Amino acid sequence: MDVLAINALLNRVVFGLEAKFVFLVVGLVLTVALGFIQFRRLGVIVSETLGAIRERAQGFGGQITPFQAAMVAIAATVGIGHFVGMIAAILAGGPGAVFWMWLGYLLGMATKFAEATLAVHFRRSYTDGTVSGGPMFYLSRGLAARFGRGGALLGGAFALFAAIAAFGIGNLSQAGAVGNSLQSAFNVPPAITGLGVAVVVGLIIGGGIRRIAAFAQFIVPVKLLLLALAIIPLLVVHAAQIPAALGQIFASALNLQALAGGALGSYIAMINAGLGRGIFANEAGLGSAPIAHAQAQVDHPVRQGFWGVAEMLVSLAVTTLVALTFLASGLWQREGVGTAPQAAVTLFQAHPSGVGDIILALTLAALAFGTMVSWAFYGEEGASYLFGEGIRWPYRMAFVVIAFVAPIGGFGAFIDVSDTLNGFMAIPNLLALLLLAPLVAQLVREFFQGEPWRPPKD
Amino acid sequence: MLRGNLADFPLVGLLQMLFSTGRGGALVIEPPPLLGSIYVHAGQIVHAQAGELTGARALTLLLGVRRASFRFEAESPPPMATIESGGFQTQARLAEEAQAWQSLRHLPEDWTQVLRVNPKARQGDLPQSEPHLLQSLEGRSIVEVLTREAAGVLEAAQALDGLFAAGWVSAKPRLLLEPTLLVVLALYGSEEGVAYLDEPLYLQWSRQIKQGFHIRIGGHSGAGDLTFIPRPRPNFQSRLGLYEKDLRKYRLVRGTQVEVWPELD
Repeated sequence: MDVLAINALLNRVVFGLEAKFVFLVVGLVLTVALGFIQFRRLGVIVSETLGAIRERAQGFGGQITPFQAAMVAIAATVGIGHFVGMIAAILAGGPGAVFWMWLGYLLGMATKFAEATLAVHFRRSYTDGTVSGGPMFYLSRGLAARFGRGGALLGGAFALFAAIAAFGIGNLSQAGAVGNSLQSAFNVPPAITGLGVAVVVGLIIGGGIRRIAAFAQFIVPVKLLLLALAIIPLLVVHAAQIPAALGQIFASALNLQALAGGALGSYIAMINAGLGRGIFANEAGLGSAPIAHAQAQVDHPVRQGFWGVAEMLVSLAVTTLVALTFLASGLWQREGVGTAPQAAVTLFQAHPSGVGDIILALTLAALAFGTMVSWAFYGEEGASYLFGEGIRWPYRMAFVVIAFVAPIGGFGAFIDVSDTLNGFMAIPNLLALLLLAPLVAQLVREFFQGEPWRPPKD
Repeated sequence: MLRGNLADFPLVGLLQMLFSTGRGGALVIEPPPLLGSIYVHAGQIVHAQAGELTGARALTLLLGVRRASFRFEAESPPPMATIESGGFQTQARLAEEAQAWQSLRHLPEDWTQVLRVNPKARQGDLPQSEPHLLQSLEGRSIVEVLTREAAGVLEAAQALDGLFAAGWVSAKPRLLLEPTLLVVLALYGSEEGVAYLDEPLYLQWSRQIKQGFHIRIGGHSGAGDLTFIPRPRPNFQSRLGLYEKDLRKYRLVRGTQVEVWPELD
């Protein structure tokens, strides 16, 4: 068995249906442990995040504001998976996949909340005012009492997976998507796109987290605006079919008669496809977003946890709108609609602007580009955890070089391996989330009793 | 140049001396509690100014000042005439008003002090005219109340004196600390009346004040100035943490920028 075959096997394990159920179980355990916080405290969550949007420039001192940290995370999370990935899920699982996606999101909110909370609680602060945090820190510091050096080893493993995965799924895939989009819409040669992407990414990540946050604060609204321009006119075009589309989602997901009638295979395919989006599109449990949330200068970790839930709400809104548009268009039932990217192109041919292909290309390029910049930071944090501060600039240079060559293509094998490593990130992360659930519950209790945050001591 | 302090040379006596010598010029009263001037010409008062007030109201206010530096600037011409001849210059009228001021035994001499309304004050127990006054006193200085009260300077002073005598109000020295702009942040819990400040700011104020203090919040469009018990909290830079109940009670919105300053307990 060669390396690629082993990778394919491992990939099926970490992204398979069983793995998805593990994510769901962790989300359920956290939901219960935290007293159904994403539902019971929804009012507080909205008021602390969307309701506090005018405080976006106001931090508590330090590097970046809680809002900016959330923007960095959303820039990474809301990507091509929300668009083409959602269409692929419906093509694979039918309308019922959306229901399972929603379930994944609802439980994943507790997961993302716990991740962001723990990331702030266990982060390291340095004398120059900078901080570093994320699963590698809550693994090593949070599990030290229980596992000794075992926690540090798990943290190291997570950091290694993140540092390598960033080059593949965070760079090659994204820069490749930017190249494809610009080539198909504007006939831009991939080499030119590569040069442009490399220069811009280099300029942004060269400025560290402050510049990345400033960029995220710009690119996230651009992404959302482009998505709105892309989706809402299509929703209007297919408005009459939206109620039927919603009906199809529930009818398909709750069609237990079909299940009894021997359609178990297709039902499992529906769950698999839906959960895939409900878990991996928002990255809850993978451990990537908490690296960004850890950067927020905030008075209490729970307050940043709320931004984790807000990130999920934004992601949920985008995937749901895409799903409704695609279902209402009826394309998912049409014979020969082709692959997900082909279906997306067909969908946009009905765009009332008449330039649907250009809007689609720009949207995909913006989605991919934002994801890329945030992942550069995630990878850099992982590398610096392993090799110290000195690795930051070499890592950035390597990231820029790969961004330059990515649009040319031909890196499929590396992307596949990095995809598997991205899945591996979840293993230590989910373990930490389960073991530290009582601590998160305690932090929540203290926060709602008005008590101050007491950072852990080494 | 004639100069001194009103504590040693009461204003009525000074004016009588100026009238008797027939000297013209400006008697300037220096702050605190306020900048005032009385212009005398040919044995008559022609103009008076005290802070924002002019004319007879200004002169009445200045007659109540018991302790302030003064100087006489001879031959200084009046900028305008705000007091008609035959009006206030009547010595009997001056003496009458000075007498009225002297009878106010409970009004503090230091008019820069800040008024605090007794939280247990019940409007039902007060004379009909005073509940309105009582509501407007909290956090204002005595001189501010005397200057701005529409009822008249002496009437306001008499009302205040009555409130002091009855224990409805008290006065505390104003701290010379600049207000700090802070952004309101919601805290969750069951407490009320407590406000959290960033630890370094709290310690700075504690060191400067060296005794118990509370904080006052102003500069928002809600229910006027508010006072809270301050407590320090780490990682709270540029924020003012208030409990949900207080936010609701005073219709304060998180994210609002407010002026916060300390006051002595």
